Amino acid sequence: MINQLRGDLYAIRHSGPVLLCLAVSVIAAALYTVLQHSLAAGDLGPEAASGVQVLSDALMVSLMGPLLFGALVAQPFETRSVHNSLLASGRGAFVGAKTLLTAAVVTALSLPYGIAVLIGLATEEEFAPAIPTAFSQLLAAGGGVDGGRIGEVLAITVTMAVLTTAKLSVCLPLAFRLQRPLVVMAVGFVWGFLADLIGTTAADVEGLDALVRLTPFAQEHVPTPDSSGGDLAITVAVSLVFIALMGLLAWLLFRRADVK
Amino acid sequence: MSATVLRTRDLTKRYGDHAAVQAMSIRLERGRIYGLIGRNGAGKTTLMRLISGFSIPSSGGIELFGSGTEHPRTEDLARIGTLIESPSLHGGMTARQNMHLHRLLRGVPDPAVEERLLELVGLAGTERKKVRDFSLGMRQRLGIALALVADPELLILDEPVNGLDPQGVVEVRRLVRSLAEERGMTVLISSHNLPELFQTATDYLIVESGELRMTLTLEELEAQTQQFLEVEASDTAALLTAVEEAWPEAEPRVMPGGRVRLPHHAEKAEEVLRALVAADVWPTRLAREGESLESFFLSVVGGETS
Repeated sequence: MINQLRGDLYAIRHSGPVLLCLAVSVIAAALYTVLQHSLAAGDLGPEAASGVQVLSDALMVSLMGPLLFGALVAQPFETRSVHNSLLASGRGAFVGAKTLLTAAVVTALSLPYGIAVLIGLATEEEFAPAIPTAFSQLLAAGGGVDGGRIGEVLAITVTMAVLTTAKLSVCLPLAFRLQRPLVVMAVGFVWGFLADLIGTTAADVEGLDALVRLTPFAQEHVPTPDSSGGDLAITVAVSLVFIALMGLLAWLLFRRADVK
Repeated sequence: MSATVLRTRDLTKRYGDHAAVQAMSIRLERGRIYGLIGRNGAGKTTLMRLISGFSIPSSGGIELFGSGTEHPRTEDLARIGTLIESPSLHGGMTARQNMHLHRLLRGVPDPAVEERLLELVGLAGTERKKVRDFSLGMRQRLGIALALVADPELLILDEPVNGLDPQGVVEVRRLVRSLAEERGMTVLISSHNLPELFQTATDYLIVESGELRMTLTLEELEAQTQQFLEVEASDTAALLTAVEEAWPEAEPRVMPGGRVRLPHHAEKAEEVLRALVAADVWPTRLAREGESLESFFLSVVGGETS
């Protein structure tokens, strides 16, 4: 698995889509923060808020996450670099490495938003949330930056990032089953927008609500500035277990699947 | 170390009702070059994918390197190198970067292997060129180099000379032969180019409709496809005497009906005619006979000859 991870990390350094996604995430986070300040300062009217939302982590990660699952997991099936990987490490190690790597890279997509929040808070300017995500709420709350605040922002950032990754991790078994990047991306995009809706609906169905709470799709897992450390820890735990389960499902699907 | 590198038992792969490979039992020995011959859809690529672990058999078993198990283990598969269907390349990387990536994936510690293999396949001078700008032939060469990165004991090459110019074909042939002769590598190679395969392989597996129709060595194939001169005369004994006097090493074979076959004189009909007439033996028939590679292959797989 170590060899697979080393190879994948090398490939990422030369992978256009992955570097592009990470760059877009950094630029979007910076722009989103600036535009939220413009909304608060009145440079942008309230009607512009819906346009600014497009740059939020909720939308950007939902768009780029599936793209990364497609590029990192399904693409090797198209390029057939999977052949050497399977001969070298076997199927279990291949799935394990891909699970770890994609989870880490998709998680990294949310981190620029946390850093942008810290920078925004340090300016002590006003920010108006274009959409009530955890990052926007933190910015809008204001209050400058000190050690406790940095810890709070980082904890919420990591929790939000891991939670979002867990929601998108259904792309993992999908990628191993379909082995086609474009299909994985398309299904992942749709899933990214439907997942919360399905989770919220299922939570209202008696008997299903307890089950939904055990998944990252429960509304109560979404971190807010008011979330306690315990809440965040539970969210992270639920998310990591869910990602691991998706990895296990991917392995079960791929264990005896034919490779192109 | 076991001389048997691969043994399959009743290997079968079904897709629904269609059997792409059916009850195929083969055995590959160390240091031999096996030519896999078959028409499109005969099951060549499926067989290669099954051996490499990319496809899962519907039934039957595969034993690699005398492991004693019919379910190949990861450590056994790691001793295989493949180029199946198309090379596994990253178009945005250079040849060297592709080599580096696959060296990392394979856990090969020696970085020198990258340069060595690029030189071996004639791609040493392509440092700045992205693989997406490579010709088909260059991609094939790089694919072969990638298959060799872990110094495999069993090399599986599916149509490796596709897209190569005549010089490239010769180089691949030399490379495959040297790998088998000098390193003891076993090579399973498929090609539509029968004459090319005839010059490369030491053994042949002929498959059709997912079934193994015939296995034979190069010597056996040569015997099957050898051209000869066939002569008939009213006095067969006089004919034989005249031939043996003119060419003591002629090795004539008398066939039913008194036909005499001269295996070394397929191209010497005029010389033979002169010698017979000089010995007062008058042939009633004199013709060059023998099967071509193509007609022999078609006779085995049940196709029509032209």
